[in-house]
Amino acid sequence: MRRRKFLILGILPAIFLMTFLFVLPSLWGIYSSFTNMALLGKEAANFRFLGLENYIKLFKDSSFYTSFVNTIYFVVGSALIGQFLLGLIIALLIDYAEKKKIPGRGIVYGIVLLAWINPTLIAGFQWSAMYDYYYGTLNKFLNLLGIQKINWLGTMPMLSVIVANIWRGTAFTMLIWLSALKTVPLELYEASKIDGANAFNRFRYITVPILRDIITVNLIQITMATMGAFLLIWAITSGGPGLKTTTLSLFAYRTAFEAYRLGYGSAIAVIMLIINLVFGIIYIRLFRRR
Amino acid sequence: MKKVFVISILKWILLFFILFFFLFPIYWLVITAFKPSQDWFSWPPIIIPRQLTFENFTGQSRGFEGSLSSSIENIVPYLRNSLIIALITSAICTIISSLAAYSIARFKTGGRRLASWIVSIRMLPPIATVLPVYLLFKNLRILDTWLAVILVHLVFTIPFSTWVLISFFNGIPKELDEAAYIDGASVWKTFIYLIFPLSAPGVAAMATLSFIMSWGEFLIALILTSSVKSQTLPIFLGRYITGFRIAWGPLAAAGLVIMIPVIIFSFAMQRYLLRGLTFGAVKY
Repeated sequence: MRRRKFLILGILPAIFLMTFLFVLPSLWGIYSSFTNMALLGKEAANFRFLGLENYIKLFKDSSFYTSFVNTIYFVVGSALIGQFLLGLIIALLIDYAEKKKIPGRGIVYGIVLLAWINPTLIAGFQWSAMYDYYYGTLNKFLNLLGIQKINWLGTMPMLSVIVANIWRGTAFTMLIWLSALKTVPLELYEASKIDGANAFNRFRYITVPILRDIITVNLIQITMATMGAFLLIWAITSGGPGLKTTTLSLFAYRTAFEAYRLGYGSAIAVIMLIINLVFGIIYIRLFRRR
Repeated sequence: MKKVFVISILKWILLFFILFFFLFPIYWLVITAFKPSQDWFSWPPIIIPRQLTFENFTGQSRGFEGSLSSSIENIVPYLRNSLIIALITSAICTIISSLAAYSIARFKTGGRRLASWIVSIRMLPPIATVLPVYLLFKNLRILDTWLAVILVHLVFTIPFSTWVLISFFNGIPKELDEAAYIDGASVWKTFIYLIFPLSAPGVAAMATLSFIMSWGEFLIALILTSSVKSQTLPIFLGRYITGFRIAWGPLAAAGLVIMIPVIIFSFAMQRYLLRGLTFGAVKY
């Protein structure tokens, strides 16, 4: 029994840390979303409880709608379609190469990983330089191919930011898939091959069901990371032109730390929490054990 | 036969495209780090460098207009801060989360709910918690210290590590613990000499991921630190970016310096990383 007590105590450091540095600050943050808390200006002097006023204001704010829609595009485009699918494809390619003993798989792995550990700030400015209309490398390549220059950040800013984020974040998914694929017993594949299943069906009916837990957590993790992505977009476009690449996380940052309206900024963060939860519930439902 | 051939060609094209997409910006970063300042901005862009130099690392005779600094000669204290913060975060994170995970896995402490609560807790974006934490640290007088940054980085790394390690420990048969207890080993001894080594891959993988996370984190470090005493490398980069222009040479050189320790760390852990993630994250 002493053992039991002792090990239950093992969870305390984690609980303690999370409570004081995350749960309480979060509650404070959520509370502040119901107030007019501000760092500067006349609102800073007379602090008031507003109830739902911030949220009502938010739903009437057209920039909120724009950034909400942008966030959905950004998350679906760069996390789900981009990082998740591309990470999966690369992992499958490497896994295939490993099984067939084709050389060079380590290089692919290393290169994708490099993109991930490249500091985000540098990655952002690099991509903004590559997209540059006059001096960008991307337009230089188009030039060599004899194609007209494209004003990447002017005409397709969201797509440009999405591509840059795919570049930066794919490694995480690749890493998880690569290791997860190794846990699927080879005998299962062999058996289904004999039964005449093609590659897609093997993936759909053997790999996915076995790996559903990890798929769920991977999706939750990349969705959260993408939802919170701030630095990359800020470095490439600063949310512009206009509000075309302003996601909720940029909008919240602007409101809280540039306009110093903390209460309003926190309300945006709470909305982001709700979106995250909705995505999370969808994933869990989608990959639930049947 | 023809179809097989077309498919294999397509596979190679896909592979080549992926490689090019991922490699090009890195290649560009590497060559820029060794380019003299007149080549940083040029049209057409210089893809194959004409002239290589170490000026960006060691300092150059002429200054560079519009930026605070023209080389990375002052990087050392920031490198020290980053190394200390990332290594300690990584070490403490593995200790705290493996203890917590073991407790949850073996004794169902808090039941199943606690485990999923741990994952979902991070869904609130950091932006909502950064200010209260700032005020708290201000009152505790630990702003602008290593400790402040480490504490907050732990909050970001512990939930994911704990979650992965829980399923990892679930994979180790309970009978092993029982056997050790019957042989008279204490809880600590069982944990340190039996459970920890058995789960080394998972622990190593989580150590690597938390190291990488802490090493590259920007927003928290930006808000909690204010001087060379505790600022980390990602903050150091800011000095090369001004509204006027970007000092690409030293920025790229600093980028290389930032990437190298991570490369070393992840290659040292690579063997464990792949096996560890595998074991931990998958349950049948």
